[in-house]
Amino acid sequence: MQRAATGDVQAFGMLVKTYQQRLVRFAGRMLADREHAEDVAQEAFVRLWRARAHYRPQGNFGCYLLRIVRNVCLDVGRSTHPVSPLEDAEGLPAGGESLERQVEAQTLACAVRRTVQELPEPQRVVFVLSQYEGLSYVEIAQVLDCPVGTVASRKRLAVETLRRRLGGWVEREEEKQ
Amino acid sequence: MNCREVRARLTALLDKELSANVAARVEAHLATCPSCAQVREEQQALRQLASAWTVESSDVWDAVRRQIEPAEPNALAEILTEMRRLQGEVRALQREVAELRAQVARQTEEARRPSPMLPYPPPNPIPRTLV
Repeated sequence: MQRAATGDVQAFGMLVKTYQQRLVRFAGRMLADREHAEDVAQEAFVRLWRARAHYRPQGNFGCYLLRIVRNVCLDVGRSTHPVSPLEDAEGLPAGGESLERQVEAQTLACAVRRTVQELPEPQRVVFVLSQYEGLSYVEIAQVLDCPVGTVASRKRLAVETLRRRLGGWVEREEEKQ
Repeated sequence: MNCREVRARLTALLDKELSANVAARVEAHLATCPSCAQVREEQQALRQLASAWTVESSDVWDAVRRQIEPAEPNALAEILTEMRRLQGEVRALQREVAELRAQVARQTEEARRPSPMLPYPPPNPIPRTLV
């Protein structure tokens, strides 16, 4: 980032390629819309580039980027937009499994996505960063600029809500284990 | 530690966010409390379930580069403006298609329903002059 901060487009390109997957994934889970997720990731990188002169290395750079993405998500105000039926195809496992299993896996992925989407944004962002991005509570607190205790309580509430709403699936999963 | 205190810490336990001392106390309770142990199992199953949601990624560098590279002649700006306009139109069309699909699905559903019994003879026969 320090090279990119001097206006080195090539260095910035390497940075984008390193982090883009993570940012698109994060935005995709926040918005449940891959197309908008790409737009959000692009916008986040463009904002980073425009603010490069003011960048001061402190804390975790990945967290810094995730924070920009979260702000873009909030700005576009699409955090709770309805999921289109076409997007439900995502999460479908690769071929080789029986049709029945594929359908079940797709239905499950869809149920999880819808349930996560229904969480209030402060809980959803904590759940996504913890469950899918593997961030620690301290790192999440850094992204959200809030106390670690707040992260812990939001995660607990999110898990409770999901456990209640996905009750039937949870029982089936328990039987499998 | 009682059940309420343990359950308040279960998520953090599974996230490996508790100190060794607190984690050991929670684990000790779980070893003797089937009810709390059940809640832990449910939370573990939920984590497993949540992993079913995958999101594909994509390359955004070309799009980013177009926006950050020094402004080229007006042609580039015009192309970008046009692309954004077209992007907007495509999205609007996608929304319309989704609405139409939903409408067709509703109509199909309505057509399948049996029609309600009509009173006979009709209460207000159509005047001949209108036929």
